[in-house]
Amino acid sequence: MNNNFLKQWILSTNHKDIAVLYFIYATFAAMVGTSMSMIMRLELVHSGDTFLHNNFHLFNTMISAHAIVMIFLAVMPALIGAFGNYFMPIAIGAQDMSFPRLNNISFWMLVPGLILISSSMIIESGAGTGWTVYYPLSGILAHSSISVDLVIFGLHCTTISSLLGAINFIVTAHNFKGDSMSMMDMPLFAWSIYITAWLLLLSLPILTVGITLLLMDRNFNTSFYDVAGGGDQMLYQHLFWFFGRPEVYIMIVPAFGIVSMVLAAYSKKNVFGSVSMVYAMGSIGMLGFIVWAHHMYTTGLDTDTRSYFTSATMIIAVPTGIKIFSWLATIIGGSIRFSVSMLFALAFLVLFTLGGVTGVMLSNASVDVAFHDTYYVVAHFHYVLSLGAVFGIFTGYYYWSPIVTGLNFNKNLARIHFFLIFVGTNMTFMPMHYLGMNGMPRRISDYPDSYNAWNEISTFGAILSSLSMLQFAVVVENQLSNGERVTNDTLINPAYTFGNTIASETLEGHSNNAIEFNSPAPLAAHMFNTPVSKFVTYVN
Amino acid sequence: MEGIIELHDNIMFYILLIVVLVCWMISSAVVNFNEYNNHFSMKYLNHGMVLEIVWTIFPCLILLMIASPSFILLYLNDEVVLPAMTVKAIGYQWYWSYELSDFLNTTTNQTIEFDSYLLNDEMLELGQMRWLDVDTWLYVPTNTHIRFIITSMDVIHDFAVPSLGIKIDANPGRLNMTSVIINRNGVFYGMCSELCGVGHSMMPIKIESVNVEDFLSNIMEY
Amino acid sequence: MLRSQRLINTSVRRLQSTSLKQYAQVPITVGSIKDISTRWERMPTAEQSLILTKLKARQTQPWTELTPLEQKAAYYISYGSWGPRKPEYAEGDVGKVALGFLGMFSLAIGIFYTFTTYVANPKPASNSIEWQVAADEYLKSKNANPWGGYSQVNQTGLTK
Repeated sequence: MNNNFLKQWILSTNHKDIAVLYFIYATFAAMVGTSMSMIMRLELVHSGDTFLHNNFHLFNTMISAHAIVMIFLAVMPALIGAFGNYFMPIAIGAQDMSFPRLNNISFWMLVPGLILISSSMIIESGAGTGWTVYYPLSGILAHSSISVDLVIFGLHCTTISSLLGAINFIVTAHNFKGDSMSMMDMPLFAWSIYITAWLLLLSLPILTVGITLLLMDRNFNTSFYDVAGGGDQMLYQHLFWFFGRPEVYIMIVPAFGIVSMVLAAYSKKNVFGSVSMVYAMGSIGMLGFIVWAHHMYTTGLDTDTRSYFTSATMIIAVPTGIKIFSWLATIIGGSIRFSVSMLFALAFLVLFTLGGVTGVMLSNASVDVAFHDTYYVVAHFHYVLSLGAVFGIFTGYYYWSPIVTGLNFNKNLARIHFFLIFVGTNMTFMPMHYLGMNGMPRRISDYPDSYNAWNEISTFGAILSSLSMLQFAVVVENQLSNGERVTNDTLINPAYTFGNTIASETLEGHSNNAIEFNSPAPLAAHMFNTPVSKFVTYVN
Repeated sequence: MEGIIELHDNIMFYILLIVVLVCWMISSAVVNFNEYNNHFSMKYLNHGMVLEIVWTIFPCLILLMIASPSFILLYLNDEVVLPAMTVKAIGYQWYWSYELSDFLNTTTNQTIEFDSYLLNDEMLELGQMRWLDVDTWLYVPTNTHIRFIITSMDVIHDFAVPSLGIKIDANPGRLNMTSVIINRNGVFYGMCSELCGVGHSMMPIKIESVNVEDFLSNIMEY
Repeated sequence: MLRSQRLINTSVRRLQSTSLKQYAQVPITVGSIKDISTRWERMPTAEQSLILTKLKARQTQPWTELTPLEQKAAYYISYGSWGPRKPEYAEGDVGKVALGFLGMFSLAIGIFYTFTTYVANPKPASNSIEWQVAADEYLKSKNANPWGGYSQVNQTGLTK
């Protein structure tokens, strides 16, 4: 191993290399998370013990670890770490991020995070507390092994990583834009990463407080949450969900940015009302901070409190609706080209709407009495996460991987991947709505016999979704080993009246105004020698 | 519970409206505006003040129409006025313990307290509901305003009986209250709804409601 | 365009003007542009640029002077479905995708069947018909009237 390998991949300060590292890491973590969910789903295929031999603690550990791995180690690194790091500096014409070495530390802090969380599963009994790690169950009496402490340390590592990254993004967005670009001129993807960075910066410290106080309660005999010592368990819930609510917006707002870029590119139009899109993302972010207690409706909050949180949560539907309608107005009137990333983006629109409306149903405190901690909630958040954020990741991958790697993927394999994941995830999570309405609680390892039917369908869908992950691996392997080199021709989507040869020569008629598509592919490690001074935006 | 079902159906109407609208627009875009049908994109269609105002106001109106019955139901649910009877349900890991402290046995000076454990598979008889039937369950009178006071002795549990429309967290160190009037005789099942450890799925709740006379004679025998 | 580029363009044009006039007068040979739609993509670059130059020169003439073959060639080069205009879905793609999807779907069915039949423990005894019927009787005796009916025994719908 010569010194260059060390410098390029371990001590990297190049945002593109770090983004590639994040993506590989996120794919690995996604495979880990998928296998955990498969263990759960296979156990739940029918009532009665299936293959875990009544080891319910293992099941609870799988539940918690699946959520933590998918949220903190797969979706966030993929969207913010990989796509954000790679394309946000390019979008604003910067040479690199504002603090390149900090960028590197952000990535490498994730590796101990994965190690700590995996070891929490293996060492002693495992943390069977749910990803929310509520207090008495995660206290020293109920979970006396070291597993919960390891989870807390793992979350500390991922928190440090995201916080440093957030600082980096905010400073880059303010200081490194090209000369002619004001904040409002930034492309929508750059805005989405900027807003996400603010959400991270303001919410992650609260998570740290919550879990550090938990650590102290467990190990240092404090009683922040222990009633016998004068504390209150509700403090933990409030602290956790004050972070938890912006966290889910952190996961979805970059996907909003990616989908905006793709929808505009493949319908040959600009995004409708881009200024109001920016304001909508900003208001979703801000409103996400004041609605946290809708996760706690059944804990015995005051009625007036519950009615406030009901109304505040319902208000978030308004900017989200503005975004959906703006995307619809983007594709209507365009000339839609059904590339693979466009298929994913269109599916995102439909499925995110479905997830969002079940969220409106859940926001009402009175209806939430029936649905809290049932599979309806599981269905809701998997629709917006597994069919929203994950589809956003794949949209971004199929849109940008040809110019990142310089190799085209096999379109047929990618289309098979799309149909597999679309059918699979829908078949997994749609029956969960019915299970929730019939009253099946969450996080249970075995259930009464009447829930058998929908659970079997859901498990079959889960098998199909795992096969789709396998298919994605096949697509990537095929792309990297057999992919055709990207030429200018494959990047261009000329307007009806432009000739083919003119388009090739002048790069006129490229699919959108983005800088990354106006540069030779694969994108060079150092694209700009000085910050870009003048941006010409034009509509082809 | 009936109120919840009605509100749910009410909200479903608006949800279906929005989902059908969005799916219709996407299908019409995909069918009419794809690159085979529509070669020239309307590339200057980037703004529309009136349209944007319309699609901001229209969801607000829908939300108002959802919110009104929702708030009514929420405030109605919380009226606990003059309950006739109190039942305490205490969550342990991994069973429920019920106390009907309104009834005192004057000879032995005891109130009604009992634990309610799940019947596991070996102990089930033919016809009992697996994973839902318990060894001793709660008898309550019909058409009586009953107040449940829920707490826990160790970790957070959740007392949930979906058929009666109740779900309250059992927090240690905290007393949560909810109320129920059961309008007909019958059995009502529920399960613990907050992760409480390995036995989380093994703590069902069974409530049987009988006529007031039967209930009182049952109490006498206790 | 930058000034230096404009200068280069004019000098190139001046150099080419003589050859352009020659190219413009003479129709292009049939052999070089026949069946161009099948040959264009595999043609070497030098030949492609030669045909382009000749066609550009010919198109300075009134369009009636061009042979039909030249007109077809000009249209194909500018607007034919090669390069940037290569269709998103080639011939037979739909069939391949459908076949691949059905293959993976059947693999999933196979895995599901193998797992539930051979690996997983059987369903508990309370799923048998007698047990479900007895449970129905119990519930009916207790006046329980769930919305979805009593049990799956008498169910006739999709998830039987």
